[in-house]
Amino acid sequence: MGGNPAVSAGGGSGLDALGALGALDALVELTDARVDAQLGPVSIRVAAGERIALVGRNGSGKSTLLRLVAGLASPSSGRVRVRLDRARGPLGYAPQAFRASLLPWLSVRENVALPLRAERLAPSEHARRVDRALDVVALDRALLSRRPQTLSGGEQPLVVLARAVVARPAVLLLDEPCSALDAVARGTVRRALGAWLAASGATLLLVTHDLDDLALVERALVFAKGTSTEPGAGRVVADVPVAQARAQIARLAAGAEDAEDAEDATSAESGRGAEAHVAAAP
Amino acid sequence: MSRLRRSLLVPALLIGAWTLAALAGWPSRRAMPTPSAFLGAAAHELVQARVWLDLLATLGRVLGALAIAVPLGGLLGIALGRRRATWRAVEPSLDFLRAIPPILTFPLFLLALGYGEASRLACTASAATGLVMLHVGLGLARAPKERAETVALAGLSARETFLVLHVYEALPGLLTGARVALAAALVVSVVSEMLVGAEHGLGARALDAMLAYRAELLWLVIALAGAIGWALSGALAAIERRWLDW
Repeated sequence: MGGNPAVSAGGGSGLDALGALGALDALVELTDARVDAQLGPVSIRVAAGERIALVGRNGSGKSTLLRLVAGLASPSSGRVRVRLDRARGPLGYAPQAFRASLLPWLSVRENVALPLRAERLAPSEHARRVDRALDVVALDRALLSRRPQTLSGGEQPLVVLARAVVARPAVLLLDEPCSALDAVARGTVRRALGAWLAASGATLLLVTHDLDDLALVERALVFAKGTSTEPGAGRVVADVPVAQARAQIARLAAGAEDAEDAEDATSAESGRGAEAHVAAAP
Repeated sequence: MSRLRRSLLVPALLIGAWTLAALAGWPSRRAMPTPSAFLGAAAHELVQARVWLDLLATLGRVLGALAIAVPLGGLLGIALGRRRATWRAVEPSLDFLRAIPPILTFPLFLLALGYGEASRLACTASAATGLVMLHVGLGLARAPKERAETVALAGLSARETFLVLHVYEALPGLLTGARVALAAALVVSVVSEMLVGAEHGLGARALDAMLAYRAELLWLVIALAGAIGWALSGALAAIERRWLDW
């Protein structure tokens, strides 16, 4: 139970927020944030440079949490604070509905460069940043003049991912970024994204169902669906180091998918996970 | 069957039915000329200046109304549709206004602007503006919210958001609205020409033809009104097919 420094989850999860991470150090901070019928009260502190996976069943509130952090949803109660400024950099977001997020009247290049429009960069710097973002996703340069709706279902998420990293974000929010990619493309993107994260020092919040994506993160928040008092609202049931998250997801995949089972299965592990995180915390 | 043959099938059937009806004297010999009488009268009228002046007068009124309605209705539609909450708040009122036959407001314009071209244009333009606004607003309110979220996260200014997002989101509704507004503008324009004496216009000419018992001229006017709607609507549909694929 106690001893988790960075994450606490309400709604009966039994995890506490001890606040070992000082409020001033937290880049992203949710305090009892709740979205009606979608996400139970969740308290999270994420330090600059941390890389965290959000795992758990569909409908357990992972994407809702990302939308709260992105400012695209408002908490019905509680507080969400993301400390970004010009010096730190912006927020990059690749939504799960990647196809719908592309602007079909712009070329692929213009879509990727959209977050740079507000920066008024010199043309050479603009082109360099777009090239760097395209390197991260290994997107074929021949596609740049095409419109996104003419790309394949496997190419479109690469455009969205490039757009998410092009402005050198301080916080990167990725919602199942590799789910539509083939195995080869997944491996390529994962390696390039890992290198980019290491070089940029960006904070990562990654929603995923893919065990291999956990190579990108240090720890994982495990989500479960609902409580007896609020059946529709997801909640965080564990904050564990990535090695334990693998076991957790494997167990869920093997059939122990009931939310209560998941919580029971992690209750013993979460204490160890918290210790590991204390050691890793800056 | 080739596409051309398929497209000619319905007109051929209609002309056949028309010939049979005219020969049978149904519904009335006074209202239904034979195709040959119609073609003779059409050939005679189409070489005269008068019918072309009537056609151009109505076409000018319709295009004038659209020239006002497309930019004004487009901007109003963007203003109301870009926030779903705003659109939800105004939609019931717009549904009520949409249910009012536009020509019913013509006497109001006559009272306000007097018996003249200004009243005719104002009534036609207001009907067309409302329809363009409705389609643009609906298009924006129903556009995928992810696109607006992407632009919001990119931190663009209000001006850039308008130019990069709203204008393009508005275009499909603008073209659909313009096609619907075109049909409404044609109706309002022709009826207003009938109601208040216009020197030129298909409505005025149709009234003259009826009073003179010239059914073949009446049918020519009907065909010309159809031709205006068909040509303009076809042009707008071609623009939509060529440039808008979202």
